[in-house]
Order: sequence, then structure tokens, then C-alpha cells
Amino acid sequence: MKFAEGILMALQQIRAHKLKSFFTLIGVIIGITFFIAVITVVEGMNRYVQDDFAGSIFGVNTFTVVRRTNVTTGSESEARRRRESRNPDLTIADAEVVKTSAPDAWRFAYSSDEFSGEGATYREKRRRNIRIIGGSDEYEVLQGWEVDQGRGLSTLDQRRGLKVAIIGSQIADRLFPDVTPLGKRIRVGAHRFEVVGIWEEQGGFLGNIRDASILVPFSTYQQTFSSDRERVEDIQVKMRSAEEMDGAILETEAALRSARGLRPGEESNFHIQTSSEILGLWETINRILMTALPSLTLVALVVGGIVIMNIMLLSVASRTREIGIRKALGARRKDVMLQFLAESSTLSLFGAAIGIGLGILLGKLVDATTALPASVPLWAIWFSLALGLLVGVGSGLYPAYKAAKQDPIVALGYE
Amino acid sequence: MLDDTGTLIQTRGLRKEYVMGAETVYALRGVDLAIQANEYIAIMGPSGSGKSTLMNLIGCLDTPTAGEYMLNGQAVQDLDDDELARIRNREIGFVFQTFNLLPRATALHNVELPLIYAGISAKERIARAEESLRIVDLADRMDHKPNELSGGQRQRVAIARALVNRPSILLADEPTGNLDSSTSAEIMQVFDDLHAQGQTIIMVTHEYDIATRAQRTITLRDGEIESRDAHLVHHTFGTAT
Repeated sequence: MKFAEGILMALQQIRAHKLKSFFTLIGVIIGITFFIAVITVVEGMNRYVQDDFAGSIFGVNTFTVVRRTNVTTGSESEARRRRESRNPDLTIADAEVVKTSAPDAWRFAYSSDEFSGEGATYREKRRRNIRIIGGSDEYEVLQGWEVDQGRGLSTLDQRRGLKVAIIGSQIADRLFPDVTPLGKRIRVGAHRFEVVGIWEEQGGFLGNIRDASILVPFSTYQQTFSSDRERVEDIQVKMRSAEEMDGAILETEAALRSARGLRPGEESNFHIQTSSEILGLWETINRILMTALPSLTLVALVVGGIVIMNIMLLSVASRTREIGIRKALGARRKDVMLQFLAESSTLSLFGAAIGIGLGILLGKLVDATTALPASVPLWAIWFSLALGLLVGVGSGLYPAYKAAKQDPIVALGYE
Repeated sequence: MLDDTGTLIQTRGLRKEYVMGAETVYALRGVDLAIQANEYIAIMGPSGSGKSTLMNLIGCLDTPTAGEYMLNGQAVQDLDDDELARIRNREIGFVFQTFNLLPRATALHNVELPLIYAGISAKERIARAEESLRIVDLADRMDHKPNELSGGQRQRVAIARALVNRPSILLADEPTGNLDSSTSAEIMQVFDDLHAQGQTIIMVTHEYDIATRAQRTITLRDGEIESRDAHLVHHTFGTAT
């Protein structure tokens, strides 16, 4: 109840001096807001990367042969970057080598793709900024993409190089708001394609990778979009289990090296990419954030604590007489101590609560604008409150001690 | 020891010295004092006579340099800060010249304060604080803050606060010093009534006509009690009225 007195006093102070309280608490508010916001984004990112991203972009137990590294972790040397830029293009012949080198592969596919700013049109309607993918047999199955309406690409489509396409949901919604797209002919560049299927909506962060793509048979792609008919951009192999991955990758690398006539010790002039590489990149970012987070939060909280301590010292000085009165009426040292500790803790917790609120708001903003699944984990809220309490008690100790050891006679005579 | 039944305060050789730089100030030079329950005492003396020091010692706000002080059967000269706080809380009700109310708290909350430090439950606190305010005729001003009350009302709140823990002694330091004469008379009437109901009152004052309302006057000069025969002093002043 003396504690309640302190809490009441702090709330009174906050209400009476709103602006001053805000400036007093700004350090704590910034620290906690930052903490909550980063935790929210990191957690959201983590969940996304693990649940959706790695699986949907690269597939589980899948490796991809590419001409050069296209994921930059920042750790590659400039020399490697320059060397890889001289790597020869992958060809259909390379794809055949990979296929024969991995006889245990569950799925095998190769593909090329390009970005089209012009996009696709149907009558007067246009969807800009799409990706056109030419995929071989099994490409869709390997990617795990399912059609929502219509059908997938058939072997016949592939063999004959038919001008058929499966389109993403964003393209379908844009070009065909009222009618079914199936059977309609859309125009991409100088060519017309019959829509035979629509992908299931992927949604989410980076969802437009599928939702804004159209898939055509590889042979069709080569005839219509590719300048070099032999060129292949990705060769993808999916194994049945994670255990098979390492062996398959080694065999593929060896086969391709020998096909390309590379000597032992010579660097491979191609790159094999796995989803764990992407996860590795994310883990690097994650690690940097998680290393920076505590120190930045700490700095803000220490500054916030110092400000609160100063305000509390001022408060103690300006209430010397009150302390004298309380002592004369029977307050012991610990009563006075507790009152001021309760006051600084309430102040700080109030700041932490505002910080949590702002952090959640910031997370929601990220959620709404970037489609990153951002939600504040409960532990972060408790942790923030604990931090707020810690700062409050820490910054209140010295002022409270100063208040508690005042001599009542001197304090009462204080004007 | 010093326990006489009915003796509330007994001091023997009470001394207080302050060291100020190279100089030692002898504020009290050995005070022997006995005060019975239900007495009404005035402490007088010119400034610098040691009456504030004596009041601080009697009120357990300070400890003596030497000597003994028995309060209600308990030796208090060697107690530490927190034990003194407990004694102040239970045995002493302070009334100050400048009222010393908490400016942001209501009359009721001000009166409640000693009960908070006595560890009494909220429900009982409010009941007793209300009761105490009724005694000083302020039942209708409970929710007012000090700046919404007149000087006389503020001092009544302070008296209610002093009474709320049912202390052995009501210790008043120039309680009318900041009040006009008619309000002073009102407040002195409150003290008279409380004394009539059995309350022990010790009042520090420099006004003779205030002191005459007490049964007995102790006059200090240069840190010592001037007249050993306090009753004689009382009579002298008594006839003067």
C-alpha cells in the first residue's frame, strides 16, 4: 500500500506533466519500440523463410545448377564475382549431363525465364511487370505448383512447342476480371498464348513470384523469347530425401566438370545452389540483427535510465519537505525508498508500455505494407516489461536512497 | 528505572550538542523533566534557548548526545532511525506552525498517512481518518486539497492527522504562529477540548497568552530549564490572566 502510494504518485506526475513525462521516457520508449519492432520483423521473417520461402522458391531437397551465384551473402570476394561472370552459359547438353549423373533424382527439370516490363495483354487490359518462365517437363511438379483452374502443361505441349500458358492469379485477376481466362488468348510481346490453366494463388511476402508469372513449355519459350536456342538458365534436381542431397550434388558437380573438361584443382565454371544457401543468407542477416539488437536496445535503455534518474533526483530535491513530513509521521527508510522506487518503476513501465504499443504498431505497418507475416511474440512483450521494470528500479535506486536517508528535522526545515 | 505509573515522559540529564566547524554548540545542557499523562504543558523560551531542540528530542525526531529519555515506559535515547520512526508513528502526533500538509493530497488522504505507515488496512484507515476529521469539525471538507482550505481549516486537518493514530502525546510547535487572532482562538479551543477529553498536550510557543491556557509552563534559557518549580511559574502566569 505504500507501494500503491508510489504508483499513484507516479501516475499523478505523468498526468500533471504529460510533455515532460514523454521527454523523460523517450529513451525507454525508443529502446523498447526498437526492440519490439526488430523482434517482430525477425520473427516474421524467420517464420516466412522457414515455412514458405525456402520451400516455395527452391523447394525442399532441391538443388539448382546455375551459371553463377545469384544470391549475394556479401561474403564472396570480388575475384570470385569476376571469375563467375566469365562462366559459360548452361546448355541443354549440360542439362542432359546433370540428368544422367543423378539417376536417383525424383524430379528433374530445366528452365529459363525473363522479366517483361511490358507484360501481358488481353484486349485492352494489360498486366505489366511479369515473369515469363519456360519450363521443361516436371518443372511445375518439381516446384510444387498446383493449378487452381484448368490443367498443367502436358508432354505433348512440350514436344510440339505449343503456344499454351499457365498464368498466375494476379495476371488472371487483372486481365480477366469478369470472364474465365481458360481458352482465351493473351498476348505477350509479339506472341499469342492460349491460357490453359491458372496457378493457385500463392500470396504472402514475395508472392508475386508465382502470382505474377506465366509458364510456357520450354521448347515454346526457346522458339519465341530466347536468342540462343541452346541456352538454359536453371537446371533443377529434386531428391527424395535430405540424406541423398550431398551425394547427388557431388556427383552432379563431378559429371559436369568432366563434361566441360575441367582439370582437377581448376575452379568449377558453374554454381550449384541449394535452399540451405538461402537459409544461410537469412541466418547471416538474422545474426547481424540479433547482435546489433541487444547493444542498441541497451544503449537506449541506459540513456533512458539516466534521464529517469535525473528526473527522480529533481523530484526528490523538490519534495524534501514532503519526505520530512512523511518521516515525522512514521515513514521508515524502506517506506520512503519503496515510494520512490515505485514511482521510478511506474514511470519506466509506462514508457515500456508505450514502446510496446508503438512497436506493435510498427510491426502492423510492416505487416500491412510488405506482406511480411509480422506478429509480436508474447515473450517479447513480457521481456520488454521486465526490461522496463529493471530500468525503473535501476534508475530509481540512487534517488530513492538519497530520499530515504534524509534527516527529518533538516527536511522539515527545508523551504 | 524511571517508570512511575502515570508518568508519560521522563528525562534525566538530557544533553544535545552540535559540532559546527571548530565550535561546539550546547543546545541542551542537561534537562530533567517529568510529564504526567493528561498534562497540558507549554514550553517557552527565547529563540536559541533550546526549545526547538527539546521538542525534536521529545518528538523522537532526534536523539540526545547524552542523558536518558523514557517515553511511555520505553527508553528511546539509543534507538535507530527506523525504531524512532515507529515510535513517532505510534506515540507522537505532530502539529506544526506551517501545517505541513501534503499539497496534492486531499484532507482525508493527509489524515490517512500515519495509518498507512502503521500498516492499517485501507478500509479501517478511511473509517478512522473520517472519524478524526469529524472531531475537528471538518467532516464536510474531506475531499478538499489544502489550497482549497483556509488557514484554520488546514491546521484542523493537521490536528486530525496528529490524532488519528491515538498518540500518547500531541506535540504542537507554534500551532497558531501562522494564524490570525480569531482563528488562533478557535484552534486553541480545539486543544482545550482535546485536553478535556484526556489528551496529553505539549505545546511550544513564545506567546504568553497561549501558554496560560496550559496547566504548566516550562521555560528554557540557554539550554536549561529556568525554573525548577514549574508549578510556581504556572501560578505566576495564572494570576496574570
